Amino acid sequence: MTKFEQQLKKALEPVEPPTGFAERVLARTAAGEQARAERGRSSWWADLFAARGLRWGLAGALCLALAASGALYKREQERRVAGEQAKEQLMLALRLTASKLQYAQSQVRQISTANQ
Amino acid sequence: MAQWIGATEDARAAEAAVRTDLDFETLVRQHQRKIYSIAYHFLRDPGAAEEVAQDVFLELHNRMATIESEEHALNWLRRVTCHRSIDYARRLPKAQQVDWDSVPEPAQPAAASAISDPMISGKLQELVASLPYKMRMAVILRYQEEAEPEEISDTMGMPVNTVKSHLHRALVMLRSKMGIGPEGTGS
Repeated sequence: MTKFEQQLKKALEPVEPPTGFAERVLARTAAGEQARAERGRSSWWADLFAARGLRWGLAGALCLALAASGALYKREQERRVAGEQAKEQLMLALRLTASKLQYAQSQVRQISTANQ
Repeated sequence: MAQWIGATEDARAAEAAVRTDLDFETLVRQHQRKIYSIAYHFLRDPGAAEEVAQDVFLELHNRMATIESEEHALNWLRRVTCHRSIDYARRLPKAQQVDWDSVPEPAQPAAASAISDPMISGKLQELVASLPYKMRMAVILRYQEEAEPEEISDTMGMPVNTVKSHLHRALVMLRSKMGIGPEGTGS
């Protein structure tokens, strides 16, 4: 090793880390482990869902609610279709009445013209 | 019987947990100086060096299960510190990086100075910190860690000849900036 390399080695001698470095590392790892443990621990609502009977009950209730809302929706659709049909029939009747009235009016007008 | 087996397994698990903790703490205390120094000489910033070194040890803690021996741990620590330090330096704004051309040459050639001259050491540290990243890391591993080119090649994941070339070019650049000739004599 040349003198220059010895100088370089001297310049790059290991330095002491700041005081409390190891303690800070260990504190961070401990904090990380605690956070991981807390994430792993189940919460009260997770415990609630974990009970088998309650899980099936909730699933059944959900199915019933879905079926009921489906039936309600279907009934509402049928009522709407029936209403539309009734409206169309009424409009047709009104159109027929109007054309008949128009015809009668034209007949009356023709008779009155002939009389004069 | 089953109770006894259960108790033994619990004791083994607890013992393993304690041993892992102890091993990690021992590794931190044993290697903190080396790891911090690699980051410090590379970045020339105590705060940044501590940040990098702490992150490296935290990563080691998460991988303790894969560490097979103390030697494996040291090699792993060196390798990860190299990569993390280079990554950290790459993320720094240009203004915070030491530019090779901006480092002034010493008034007195280094060859005429004593090996332990603090002025020369300070100047050399500054010059090393201004070398290109991979060249800088190779120099730090060679002269701080006293690693052979083969070990540096393994740590940095580059061919041995590239390491040798980096070291040779770094010495030429440093000597010329320090105003000394190739044999270590003043020019």
